Amino acid sequence: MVSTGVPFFSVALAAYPAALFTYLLSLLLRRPWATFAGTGLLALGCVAQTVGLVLRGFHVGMLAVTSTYETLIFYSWVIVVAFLVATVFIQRHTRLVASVGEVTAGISVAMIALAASPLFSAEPRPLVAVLRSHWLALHVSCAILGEGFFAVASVSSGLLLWLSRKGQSRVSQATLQLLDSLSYKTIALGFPLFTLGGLFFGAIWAKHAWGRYWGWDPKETFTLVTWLVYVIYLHLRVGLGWRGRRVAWVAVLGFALALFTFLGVNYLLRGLHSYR
Amino acid sequence: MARPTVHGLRRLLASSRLAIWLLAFLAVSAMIGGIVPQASTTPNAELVYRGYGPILYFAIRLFNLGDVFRSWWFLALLTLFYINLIACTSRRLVSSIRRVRHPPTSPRRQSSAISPLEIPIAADADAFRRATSAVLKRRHFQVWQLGNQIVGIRWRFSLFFPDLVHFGVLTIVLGTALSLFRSQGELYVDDSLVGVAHPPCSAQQQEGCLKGVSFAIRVEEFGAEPYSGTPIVSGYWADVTIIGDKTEVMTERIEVNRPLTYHGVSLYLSRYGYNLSAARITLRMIDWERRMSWGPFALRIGEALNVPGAGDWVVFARFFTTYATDSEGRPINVDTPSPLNPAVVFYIWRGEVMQTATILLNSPLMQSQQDLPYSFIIEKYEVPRYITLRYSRDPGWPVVWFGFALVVAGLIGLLCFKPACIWVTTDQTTRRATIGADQRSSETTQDHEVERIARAIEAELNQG
Repeated sequence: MVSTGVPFFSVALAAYPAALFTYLLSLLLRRPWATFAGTGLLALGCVAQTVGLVLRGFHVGMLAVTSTYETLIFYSWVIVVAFLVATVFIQRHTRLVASVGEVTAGISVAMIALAASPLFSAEPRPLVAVLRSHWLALHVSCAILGEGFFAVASVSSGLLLWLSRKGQSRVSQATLQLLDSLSYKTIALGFPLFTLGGLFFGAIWAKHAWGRYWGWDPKETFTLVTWLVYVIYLHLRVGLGWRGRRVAWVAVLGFALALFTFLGVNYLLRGLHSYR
Repeated sequence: MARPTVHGLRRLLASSRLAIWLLAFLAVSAMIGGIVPQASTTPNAELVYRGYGPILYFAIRLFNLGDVFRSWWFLALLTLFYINLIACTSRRLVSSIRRVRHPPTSPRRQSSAISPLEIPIAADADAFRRATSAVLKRRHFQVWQLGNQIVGIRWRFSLFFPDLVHFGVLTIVLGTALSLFRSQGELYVDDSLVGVAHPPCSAQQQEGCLKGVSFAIRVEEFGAEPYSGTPIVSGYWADVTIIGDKTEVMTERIEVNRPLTYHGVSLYLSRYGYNLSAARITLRMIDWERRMSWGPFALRIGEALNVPGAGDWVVFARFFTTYATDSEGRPINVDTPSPLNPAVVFYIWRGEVMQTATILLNSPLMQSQQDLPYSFIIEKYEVPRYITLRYSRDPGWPVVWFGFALVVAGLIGLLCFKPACIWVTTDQTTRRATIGADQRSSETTQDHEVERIARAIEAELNQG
């Protein structure tokens, strides 16, 4: 049981809600120490998850992204890692860290809880022949790493949209600019990873496995759509100088598409990646 | 009037706004193509579309949403996007080349500096200029003197990284266009075709041959490997000999995810299994009521046997190599490297009434639980194994690969090399210098850099 990493994932499942609660305390009571405590709890959960992922990786013989259960666990871990990296950009603003951290912790909790639900089995299973390739680890890990940063960007953009809605005047322009800047920086970090993993490694693997690098399979198509949305975001921001609410909507849409590509396509549409 | 129109058209085609609109339309179109089942991969697509109702069916037919990615409007969008990308890239490239080749000719405006820092000029003007230039050059800035301002620009070549990304995308799209000219085919090989050479197709032979290929192949052997201790297939393989000019060139093992490439043609294993529709059995039948037995009989799938003296018919309906049932109790065949639970299904016709008999070869006593008029003894069964070899020659793939590399190089460059501009404006009257940085760079990074440069200039002056 220990070698499959499940006990360590349970530690993370306890640490992340604790972090969420601590961040909430920080916001309500305006206590910066609570923000540091929340970040510490997130980091603790992340370390536990890392140990679990490493153990599970040794158990299955490769990076543990071979089933929906494992990929959800990995995804939640990546989101926390991305948030911890992103705190470097906003570390002086404890309330912002608490706000973004709270929602990020919530998303991670939701993913681990979904993985731990009866819908998915935690038992490692042997891989089917077509998945036995080192490209599986490269393709999935890079794509999800990119999406982890997109998650933080969408949280940041979502907060910006919420705080700048009509009638809200208490939030300063500086805070909104910080949220906008955080969103851009995390997308700038995630975009190359997603391009490499989601599109390029996927195409190279498809060529090796199926003899064609692109077949407009729904998974491939929606990965491309997600990528196009982020291309639009970057061009709007860098090329046309859009800031604030307008471009935040694009970031939120991009992550919604990324989530649909990750889960929705597998279970709602038919194709080579379908589990229907 | 023609020239302004041409100029306006060129500006439109090279505009970022047009690019963004085209990207949005492509994204929406692709999304529709991902959601609407495409006819090329959907059995009974017409029935599926009719099931959506008259309005959606009409829309699908009108806009050819059942084949989005080959529809005229999608290809037109893609073409327009390609033209726009060429126009944008060439305009940017010309501008980038101009900026890199020519030095700055006018001082930077103080008002455009972020967080400017003032330091005293604790030396004469020449010494200060030398110290400032030395500090900037050590930090990999190219330095120009423009009046009372020293301008340092770093990593000017990074202006080309967006162009590299765009050029990579252009290359990828070109590669996918070249892929339209690929030749490909599939070869079915079962146990009876092991050791048989499959030559290139000729005018006379179009079956069991290789289309668009200049060599022959022969499958020497093929098989599947299970995971140790389980019936699950871990991989399948085929040993293939390439025969060129009547000479055996090489024999290699092809596995899933390990294709073989020869003279630009790639060979892949795409399927392995048992050809259940070609199963054959030898059986005996026993009628316990009349105390009679018959056989042996040889039957193929679909063949029927008339029970002597009874007028009943027994049809050999289905064969399973590894019989199982799904969650709803329906019989399914599980792919295993070898038959683990072979089973036969007969339809027994007694007049107008049909009864189904499922015979599990590993559990013959299960027949007694089915209330059948006869007992069946399956003495022998044969079901051929098969593999499917897919082969393709794709002229676009190396081009696409090159495009990938360009895009990745461009993105890494954009991430790692951010252009920076620092300028130092001296005022001999107040004997103070103002250090400013370009607004385009990160504020925090620039604050630190400006601070460090200021400290370095002071240290340089102190040393001198």
